Amino acid sequence: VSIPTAAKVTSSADRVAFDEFYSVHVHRIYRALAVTLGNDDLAREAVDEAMTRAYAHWRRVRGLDNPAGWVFRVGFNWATSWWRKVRREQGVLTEARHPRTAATDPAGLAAREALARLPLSQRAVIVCRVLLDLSTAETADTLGISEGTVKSRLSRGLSALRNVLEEGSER
Amino acid sequence: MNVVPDELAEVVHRAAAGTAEYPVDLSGIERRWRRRRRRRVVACAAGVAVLAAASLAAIPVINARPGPDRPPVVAADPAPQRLMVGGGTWSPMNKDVTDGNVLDRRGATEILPDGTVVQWPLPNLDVSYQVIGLPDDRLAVLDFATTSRGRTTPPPLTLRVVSSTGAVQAVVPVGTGDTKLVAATPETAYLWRSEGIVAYTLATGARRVLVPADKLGVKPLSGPAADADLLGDRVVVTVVSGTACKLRVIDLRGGHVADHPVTRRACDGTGLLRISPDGGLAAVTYKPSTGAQRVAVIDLTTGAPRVDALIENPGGDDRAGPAGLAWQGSTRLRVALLVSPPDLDRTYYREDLVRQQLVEVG
Repeated sequence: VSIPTAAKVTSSADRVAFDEFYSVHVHRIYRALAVTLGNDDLAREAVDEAMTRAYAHWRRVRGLDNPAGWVFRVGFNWATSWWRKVRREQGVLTEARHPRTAATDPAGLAAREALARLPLSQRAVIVCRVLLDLSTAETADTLGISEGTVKSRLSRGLSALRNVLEEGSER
Repeated sequence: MNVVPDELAEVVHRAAAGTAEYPVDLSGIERRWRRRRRRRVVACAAGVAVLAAASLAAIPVINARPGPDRPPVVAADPAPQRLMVGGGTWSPMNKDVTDGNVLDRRGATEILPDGTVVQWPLPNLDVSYQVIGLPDDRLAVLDFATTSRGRTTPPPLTLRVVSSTGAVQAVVPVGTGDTKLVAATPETAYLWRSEGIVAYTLATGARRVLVPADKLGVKPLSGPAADADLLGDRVVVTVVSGTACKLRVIDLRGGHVADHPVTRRACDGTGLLRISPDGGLAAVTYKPSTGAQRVAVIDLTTGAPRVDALIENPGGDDRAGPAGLAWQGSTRLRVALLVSPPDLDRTYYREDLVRQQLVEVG
């Protein structure tokens, strides 16, 4: 991700705009990252990191077509690169990176389990389309992939998700 | 197409609703930024030092790759086969082509399992090509230069690996002569050439004849439309002899060769061939002497026919018919169909005339 080169929030108007952006979007981006990454703590860190970068470059970020998509992308890239590093170092301990949520809704927990069985790349596309409500073109731009790849990953991801859910219902 | 069905969107929303609460802390964002700004100077200096040290200590590592000494293996959990439209026939890569009132746009066409048609970009080369979709979204492309001006020898062929954005990631020259791209993995492409089935390592260009031509008994592009496929310990080729259409199954371990009839009917010829992901079945399209094209599924161990289905051909002119095969698991076959333009006074893009037919294999 190339970070726009501009000043951080400086004026009170900028601050108000950033506050509004933060309060409107932070929960949605966090949930999107939590589902994508399968790890609430990592998602929280990723959102904090991405929002900090948005704050630092707010004048440029607010001028983008889709600032929330940019924050998601920054958080996603930060988490996956950080995650790769941790996985290299922790080896077989990587399963511990999936702390279970405190969800009281068994169906919600089952849904997260099902999504967690998909490859990360497919999960990211599904989340962008469903939770962030992005179009194919916006998803491609957010994830830095082609529209064809978005369609392909969405199709395969949904097919895999359906299979996982069917397996679960047969048990 | 390519929309998210409501029941699956509901699953995703339900998963999101189950996440732990996010602790909103706007002032924490600013504190984090201030800490970062203080560290920046130190971090930059440290980074320069680390880079300098790393550059001194860096040792280039080259991973030796094994040679292409075997066909694609049967995976326990194989990736779904990709259904490319017309991938086994030569198509021009660098320009739109009009065939009557049907326009072929530049790019490779794929039908996704849900029926969505995707057009993949290809490099702007003056070549004709065959294509196979790799499991990782890339394409294996075999091409030859279309331009023949001043050429007195056959055009050389080239294998390329093309990314989903159309970027060429590997180039392997493969010489001249009748050639068909029959299978590919991310590491190896398998070509049917006059010397037999030849495996090319895409990273290095190393080649090895897997099955010599005398074992195959037929030459590439011979007969009405010969095709081949290979997986695990088996190579399968289509053989047409008189009015009999057969599959020739070659066991690479013991060298055993078995011919299985595609159909008991009188047969004009075969078309496409694809082995199922578990290596146990092969689907083959064929044209009976009477009637429309059909697709047969044959058990490669016993030769028993498992399916013999009519291929849908709405419109039914010469430009319509089967254009690709792909297995979805080992119990469902996807057949790419080119259908006839419904209105002869209108121009259609080829991708608008692409359909898929599903064939269940019990």
